[in-house]
Amino acid sequence: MTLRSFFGKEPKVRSPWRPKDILKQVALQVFLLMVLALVLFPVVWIVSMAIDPRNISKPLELTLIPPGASLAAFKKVLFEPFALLCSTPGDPQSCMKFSGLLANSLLLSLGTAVFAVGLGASAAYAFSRFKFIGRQAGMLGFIFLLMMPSTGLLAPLFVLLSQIKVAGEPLRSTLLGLAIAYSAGALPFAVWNLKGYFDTVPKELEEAALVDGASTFTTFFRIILPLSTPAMAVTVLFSFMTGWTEFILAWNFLSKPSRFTLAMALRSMQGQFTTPWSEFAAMSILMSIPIIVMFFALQRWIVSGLTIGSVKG
Amino acid sequence: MMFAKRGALIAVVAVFALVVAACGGTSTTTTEAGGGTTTTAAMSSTTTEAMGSTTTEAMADLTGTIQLWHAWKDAEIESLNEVIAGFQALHPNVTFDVLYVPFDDLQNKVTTEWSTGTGPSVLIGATDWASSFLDADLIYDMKGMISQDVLDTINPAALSAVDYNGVYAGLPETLKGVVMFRNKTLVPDAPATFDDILAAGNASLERGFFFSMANLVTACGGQVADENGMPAFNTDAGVCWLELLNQYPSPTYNTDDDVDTFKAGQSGIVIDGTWNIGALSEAIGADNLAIDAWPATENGAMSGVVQTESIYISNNTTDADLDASKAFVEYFLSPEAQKILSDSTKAAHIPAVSGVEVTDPLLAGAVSAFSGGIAQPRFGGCYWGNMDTALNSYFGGEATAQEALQNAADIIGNAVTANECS
Amino acid sequence: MARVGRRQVSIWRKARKSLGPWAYIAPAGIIMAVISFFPQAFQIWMAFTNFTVKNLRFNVFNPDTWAKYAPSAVGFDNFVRIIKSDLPISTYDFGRILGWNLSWTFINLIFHVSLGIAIAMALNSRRVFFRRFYRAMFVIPWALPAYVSALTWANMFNKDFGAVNQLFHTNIDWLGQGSVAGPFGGILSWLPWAAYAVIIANIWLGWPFMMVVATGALQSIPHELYEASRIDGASGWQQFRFVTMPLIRPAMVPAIMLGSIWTFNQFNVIYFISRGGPLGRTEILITQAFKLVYENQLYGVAGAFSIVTFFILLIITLIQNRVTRATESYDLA
Repeated sequence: MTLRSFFGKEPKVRSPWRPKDILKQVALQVFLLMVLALVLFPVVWIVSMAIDPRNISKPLELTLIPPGASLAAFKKVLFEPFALLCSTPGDPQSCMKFSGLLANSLLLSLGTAVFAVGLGASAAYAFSRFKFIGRQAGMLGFIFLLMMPSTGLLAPLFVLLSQIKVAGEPLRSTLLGLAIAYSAGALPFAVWNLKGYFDTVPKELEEAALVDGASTFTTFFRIILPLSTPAMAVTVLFSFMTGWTEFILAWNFLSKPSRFTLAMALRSMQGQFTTPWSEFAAMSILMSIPIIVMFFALQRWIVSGLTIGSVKG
Repeated sequence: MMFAKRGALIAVVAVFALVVAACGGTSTTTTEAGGGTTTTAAMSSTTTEAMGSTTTEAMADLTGTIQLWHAWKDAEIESLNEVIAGFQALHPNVTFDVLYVPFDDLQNKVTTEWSTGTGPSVLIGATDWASSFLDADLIYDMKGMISQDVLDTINPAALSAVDYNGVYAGLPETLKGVVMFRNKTLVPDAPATFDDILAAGNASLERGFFFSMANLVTACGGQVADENGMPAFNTDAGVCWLELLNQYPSPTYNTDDDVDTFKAGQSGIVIDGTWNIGALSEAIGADNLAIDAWPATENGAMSGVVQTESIYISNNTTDADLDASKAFVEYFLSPEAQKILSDSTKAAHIPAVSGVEVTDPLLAGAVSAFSGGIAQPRFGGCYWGNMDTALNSYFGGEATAQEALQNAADIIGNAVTANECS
Repeated sequence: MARVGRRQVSIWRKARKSLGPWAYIAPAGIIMAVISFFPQAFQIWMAFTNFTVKNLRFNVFNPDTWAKYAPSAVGFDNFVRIIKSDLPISTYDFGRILGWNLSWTFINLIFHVSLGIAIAMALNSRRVFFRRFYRAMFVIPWALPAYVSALTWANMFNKDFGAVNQLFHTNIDWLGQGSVAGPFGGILSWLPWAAYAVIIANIWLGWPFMMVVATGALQSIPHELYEASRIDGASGWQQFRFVTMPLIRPAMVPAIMLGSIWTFNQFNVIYFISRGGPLGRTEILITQAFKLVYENQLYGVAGAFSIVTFFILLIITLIQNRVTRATESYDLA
């Protein structure tokens, strides 16, 4: 996105500036600036907390740029080991650092996204295109799963994933197992949304391809998927976000610090009695950046991916 | 062409992610417990048979791995590491696997893990988790595990808190509790009576149930709960207690705003927990901080609840690990380890056993403040929320003292009987 | 001869073709049956028992655990207790939680939709300088992870040091867990300060989504329609009512339905800002269900709670469907 496109090339409006137009523009700008202030206020607040070197429990005054502002909190979070997330007691080398946590988070989030998209798209395609026994029951089942809250699934998922053993330890305590658990929660929405979107792709396209001799598999990959990029983008984004920010299930499942994620580290910073706000704010900002970037990158698909898919529902 | 490439790319990414995730999951098997036990077992059995088992030889031959989970933070962990190092000096063949879990998540995590056969061998956690652990059959009775000598040194009030009908559900390993802090620069003399506090005019007192319940016993002569854990506050003493709390200057309820004001040097007296000693010393200077004996009231004295933190052994632990865990718990409760833990620059834990000299004036002040304190009620899980509701309805003017107390007593009584206290 | 051959060939082709659907469903179907359907089925079973911590050791495949750890069936007992507010949580009141959950959804949605449409229209005017910049900035509340936003707002609403109190020089105890006092008396007296805090935070979070949807919809309305209506003498307000509203409706309706489900189940904002307090006054169904699992470990009751929540959500969705269908046909007529 170039700077110019960001700030907007105004479309050529041919009519001259009348006083009424100037007034309207000023009023508009004032209104929009007010909205901007309200939107950005919390963001500015958290940035100001992150660069505040005093690191007291809560900041004492309302200052935009606190006295002695520094990036010390960012440096600490990025480069120093997290003293609470160590594999060996007393050995700082065994403590997790930002880079390690980041790698785990990426692995987990991408894994969740891949599962959700892979399984979701194939199941949604089947429901959308084929008539088979149990289709109606399956669709009802998905609607049911969609609306059942997933809060009570912690114990069943824990027990279930503990039964399956991979290389001598339960699947539950690996990132793979956690990704599977997240997908379990993300799949109902993914299938429902993708199916709705697939329904809008005209069947004639596939039939034409089939006549030309393409297999079902080829039509799925070459025709349906590319046309469904918006819905796929939404699925990828939402499942990525789940893997990136979820910590409750993560702390419950994982026990080896070498597998911990950024979200778990953020949670560990919340003290029982006090929280180091600068570092907490710095960590929050760093964690939010990739999500915001993804959001902007996929923005033009998100709305169509959500709304067209759900009209049919 | 483009579509095929994209499809291929997706497939490659998928396979890659799966492979890496699977590999990432199993790559850390090298540090697992399996390595520790096998190598020295054969050696230790021959040496003890050859030389007869003198106690030091047998102790030095302890093997096994202790998986220890806790929710301690920064400064406390330094002391914990020292204790572990001290233990390993005595038993070099024991390996440790220590994990920090955020406090809010610890109980749930431990419960689910123990129930499926995994989880730590030793847990340091809150004492009021004991009833739920015991009910779910997850921990050992410490009475059979730990030598009577060690048990005899434990503070009796603390020990009574973990005694469930003769079963010791975990053991107290430190005392902590509610005390009254004073900023010596703002309030030069220790307040001798409650009126002195009111007169000083710069106190900010926390009247949350947890911080104020002890007054019911020591200032008004009542009881929070009876021996069976059933509510017993529903009396005139309870009314007296609520009326006392109503007089607190600048009262707060379950927030740390009073602590923040104290740290900012704007209030001179605050009621808070000993776990904040480090933070408060850092804020106003350790020399300016004091912990005083509780001031007197009309019919008695104020006081604070004395809590314990417990150390548990899971009943999934067996064989060599169990022997090592038992030895570790005994070491943890020895005067040597307790002294390490009472280091006021680090953990600043108040010892739960006798025979430990406490040099730091703040900790000594806390110890003397605790002599007039009470233990927290059994089945605390049923009390906290319900009592908060009752107190708030009273302070908010929605109910009279009698109504609020009666209401709470009914709900808590039912919950305790139904055994639904977590 | 040839006809028989062709029929045989087509049977083979049909058989080979039907391998296709099953190949798609099988991996996904099996995995989903295990990880999505099975835990839910388990939860439903738990809802009819008194499942708590000690029952976690119950293993269907190990008969040794049956006697000691099997939970006992209690029929509909859990459901009755939930609806009669008979749980060992002092602040629990089913009617109040449900009422607040519905009001919360409704209030938020009104603000989200009106703000979203209003600002989308402002940004859609013929000439707006920095249009794209504004559009990009306004998406930020939606893009930020909800957990981070919630904690930031919680910090901002702090009584002594929060930004809100400092900005307005007030001393309101927004998130105090102590008292249930609120700013207004009379009919609104049941809303404590914390309720306003979470509503404000959630409005901030939620309107960008509606704005983005509305923008897409507005851009698809041809300018000629406005020109034509102006020529016919329509005022600005009439243009809005008769041109804008009906034409953005098809896009807004699904967005509203999605938004209402998201708001109904908005866990992060409530749990991390007001914690359901003070004294359970801002508790919604999903946070209560979570607390039943995490803090009280009453898994059976939590399962029943989930089922109750499901039926409530189902009813709401069905009502929404009916209403939109009814008004839709009215519009088209």
